[in-house]
Formats: sequence, C-alpha cells, structure tokens
Amino acid sequence: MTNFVDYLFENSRLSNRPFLLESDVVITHAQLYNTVNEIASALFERYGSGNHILLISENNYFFIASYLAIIKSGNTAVLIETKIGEKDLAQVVHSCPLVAYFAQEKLLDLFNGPSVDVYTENDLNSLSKRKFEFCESVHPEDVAVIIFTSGSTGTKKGVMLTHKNLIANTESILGYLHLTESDRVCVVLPFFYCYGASLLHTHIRAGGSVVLNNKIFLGSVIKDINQYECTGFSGVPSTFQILINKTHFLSEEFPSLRYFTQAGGQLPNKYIQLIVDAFPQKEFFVMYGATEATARLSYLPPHLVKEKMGSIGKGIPGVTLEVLDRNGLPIKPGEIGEITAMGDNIMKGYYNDPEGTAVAVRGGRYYTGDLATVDEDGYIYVVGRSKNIIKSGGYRISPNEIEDLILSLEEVSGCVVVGVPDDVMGEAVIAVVQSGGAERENVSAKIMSLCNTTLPSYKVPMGIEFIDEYPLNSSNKVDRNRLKAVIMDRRSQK
Amino acid sequence: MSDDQNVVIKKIFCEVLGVDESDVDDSTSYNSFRPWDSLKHLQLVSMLEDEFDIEFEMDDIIAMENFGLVKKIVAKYTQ
Repeated sequence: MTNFVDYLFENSRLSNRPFLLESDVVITHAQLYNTVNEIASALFERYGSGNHILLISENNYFFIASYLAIIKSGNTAVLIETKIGEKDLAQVVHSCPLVAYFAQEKLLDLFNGPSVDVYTENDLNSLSKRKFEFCESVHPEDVAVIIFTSGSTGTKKGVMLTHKNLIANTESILGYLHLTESDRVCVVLPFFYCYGASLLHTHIRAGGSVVLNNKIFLGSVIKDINQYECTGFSGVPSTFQILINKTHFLSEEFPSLRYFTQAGGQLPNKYIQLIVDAFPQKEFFVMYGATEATARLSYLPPHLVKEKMGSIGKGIPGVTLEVLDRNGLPIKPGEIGEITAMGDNIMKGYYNDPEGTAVAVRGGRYYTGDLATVDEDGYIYVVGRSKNIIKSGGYRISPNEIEDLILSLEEVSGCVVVGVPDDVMGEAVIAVVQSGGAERENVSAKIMSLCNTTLPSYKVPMGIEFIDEYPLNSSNKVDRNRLKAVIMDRRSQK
Repeated sequence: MSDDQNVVIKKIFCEVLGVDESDVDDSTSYNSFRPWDSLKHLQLVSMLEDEFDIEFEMDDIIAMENFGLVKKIVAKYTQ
C-alpha cells in the first residue's frame, strides 16, 4: 500500500516547479520531497514507526516538512490548534502517548519541560542531513493523522484518519476542483484544521503551489493574491464576511483568480450573492464537510450557485451522501432528516473513544449531526445542527431561517440566533445582531417588524441583543455556546 | 503624539488582548506575542477607530506589527 506522502508526490517528486512561495524563499516540489524523506528517515531511525508525534505550528515551511515527514516515517502526526488552552493541551498529552514533539519555537512556552524530544524550526537542518530514498510500507488502515477537534460537549475528540482516508478524499476533491500544476492557492486556513490540510494535500498532488498568508490582517490577502498571481482562494464564512465588511475586496478585479471555495459552515446567502455578483467570471464553490470525513463531503457546482442558493450541493465523487429520517430511510423533498455519509474518507474512529465512535459511525455510515432537507432535484440544504435546535413552546426551531431573514436587512451585518432558558417557553429565541454604526433602536424596530410580518409567532425573537464581535472557536466559527453564555449573563444583569 | 493618548491606546490594547500593561512595551510584536492574533487585531482596530473616531487605511492596519507602531499609526490620524 502506498504511503499517503508517496501518493501526494507521485507525479511531482522530481518537479522543479515551485510548491511554496514566500517573500524570501521558493521551495520546489523536488526539494520538499527530498527534505521530507531525509527527516522521515531520521525519525524512523530514532523512533521506529507506529508511534504518535505531536505537531503544533502555524502555517509555515516547518509545519509542512514536519507533517509530511512524520506521516512518511510510518508514524502518526497528532495535530492540535495553535490557540489550544492549557487544560485541553494537558488532556491531549495525557490521553495520547507521544514519542516526540514538533513545536514552533514561539509556542514552546505552552509546554513546561516535556519529557520527550522536542524539535523546532532550528532542528530541521540537522534532521535532514541524510541523503537516501526512504521507504516504510504502511497498511491502508494505519492511522496517518489524528486531528484533535473541539467536540460539542467541551472535551477534545481525536479524529483518526488513515492513509486510505486521506488518499480517497484528496482524489475526490481533485475530481471536482480540477486543479492542475498551474493552480496556486492563497492559504489563510490553518493546516491543523481539515479544510486547511486539504489545500496542502490537493496542491501537492496536482503539482500546483501554495502561498501562505499568516499576516496580522486578513485584508492583506488582496495584495498577496495579486502579487503571487493566485488562481484560488479558500475561506470559511468569517473569512468572506471580514473581507466584505472590512476591506474593498468586492471592488477588486483579481485577474489571476479562477475560483473561490467556501466551507466550514453556512455563509449567509446575502454574502454569497454579493460575491457572485461582484465576480461573475469566477467560480464560487460552496462546499460542506467534517473532520470525521477527512475534510470534504459535498459541493455545489458553481453554475448552480444562484439557482440553488444556500444549498451545499450533493456528495462529492466517491461519497454517498444521504439525508435520512429517524427510521434510516431517505427523506422526501421538504422533509427534514440527518445528513449521513459513506465512503473511503470516513474516519477510522475517535482516538481512545470507542463509545463516541459507535455513536458517530454506525454500519460504516457517518452520522454528521447536521439536519437538512432536499429539493426535488436532490440538492441538500442544511437547516441546522441537531444540537443547534432551539426548543421553544414545544416547537423545534432552526436558528438559520431566522438568521437569514434578519440578515436580509441592509443595516445588519451579522446575526446569530440562540435559545436561552426561559421560564415560560422553555427556551427563548434571541437574535444577537451586529449592526455597524446604525442606530440600534431603529434596527431593533425594523427587525421586529420584519419578523412579525414574515415568521410564525413562535419563531419571532423574544429579544434582540447587539454585539461588536462574536466569540469564535478555533475553526473561526461562531461559538454558539459561549455566545449563549454571554447573552444569558447580560440578560440576568438587566 | 500625546502621552494621554498613548495611555488610552495601551489600555485598549491590553483590554482587547487580555494582558497586563506590564507585559507590553513598544517592541511587543505581533509575530512573537501569542495573545495577539489576527482576530484580536481586528477587535483592536475596531476599538481604536471607535475611541478616536478615525478610520484606518488598510495598509496601516497591516503595518501595525508592534505596539510602538500601533501608537505611531494612531497618532498619524489624530494629529
């Protein structure tokens, strides 16, 4: 069986085309492949294979070389977010036996004297002194990566992805994005997050290149895309919302850019509309996925983005994506069920958590916990998370519908609807709104009038709160639980 | 730039980042100070704009790479 890393470099390991472009350095595919082999052989010599090696770093050459070398050596790369808190880090380190750490120097103070070897950017040279082709065979079910991700319950879950999973998903993504060696993506998403990692994987396999942007302000990507002549740009909802609300992104031309991709949550329709109107010649891919599915599960073909506005599309090649009702039967158009997936990209399981795995993956089918409906043509529309349903007055309410409605107001730039405990209704629907400089009283009145005339009464917010910035989780999505806590705190003080 | 203004900037900076004023000096830089990330930077920019009733050019938002530069750039707009 091919090691995932050998699969990635199968066509490009001798290529002198650039892979990584930074202001002061260009790394070619061949250079990267050789360095990865050298470090991998050093790791194999020191630790053998089948062990766990932690990697914590921002996006840089160090991350890329270490990540690939750990996997190539037949060991498992354990990925954690750079903003991890002490408690979560302790949980990961305690639950997962590690033989070594690769840590970016500026993050070393997270660890108080680890008892195993630690490598930083400064050690890459000494690790890559050996010059020979290294080949450690792996089994397709061997775990290549464990990604620790925020679980809805508060504790971290370690998603185990095998060589087979990674190869299958990379192949599927390339099957619809049609990347070639002339593609170059501007990367702002962290590689420790599955969506970010998928950019790394697909561009190595396609022989393309990446430009890393870790700059202080997201608006700097506008310059980078133009300067490096990028063909692709990928973001989560907040990426596009920040660019639209805080920069002149929509009035740019981006002559080199061929496409955008968006995943990691629902970007409100009004922003999708703004982008497709501003860039009619460029493709906009709405996509959907989960760490448990390696990264990607579905995409909406760009030519349908207006017709199927708000849809996540259908399953990607190699994935069977179905919305099932409680009895496990596919739902009819208009009904609501849970999105489930089957394919070679579905994780092996959660690390050290057979119970959690048995809930998420049953009979080879992954249950996403996301609720959706389908239209007559089979296109899927997410309506909420099963855990993100508000129960008010006996009704189950999905926040998305209310959010989209309120966001349609010009004065509103952000809206998240949460349910907070209420003595009478069980939960009260509260709209938490960002409104820029607009007069709050007027905005409130407009929202209430719109909701009262459009929604059934049980869906009309019982309160409107204003907020400057939403609390975000490590994937830059709105942290609804923390937001709820903020709002409950605020309301109890009134 | 006035001392008063710098006191206010430092207070806002530390409030947004959730750090002690004693942890911050002019050389405190985005690249090496972990509490300062791009999301905090966005909040910082919003709060400075509100406080001083100014609106930064994008290049200036990008150029605020250490605390000394934050003060200098704000001063450019308030002078």
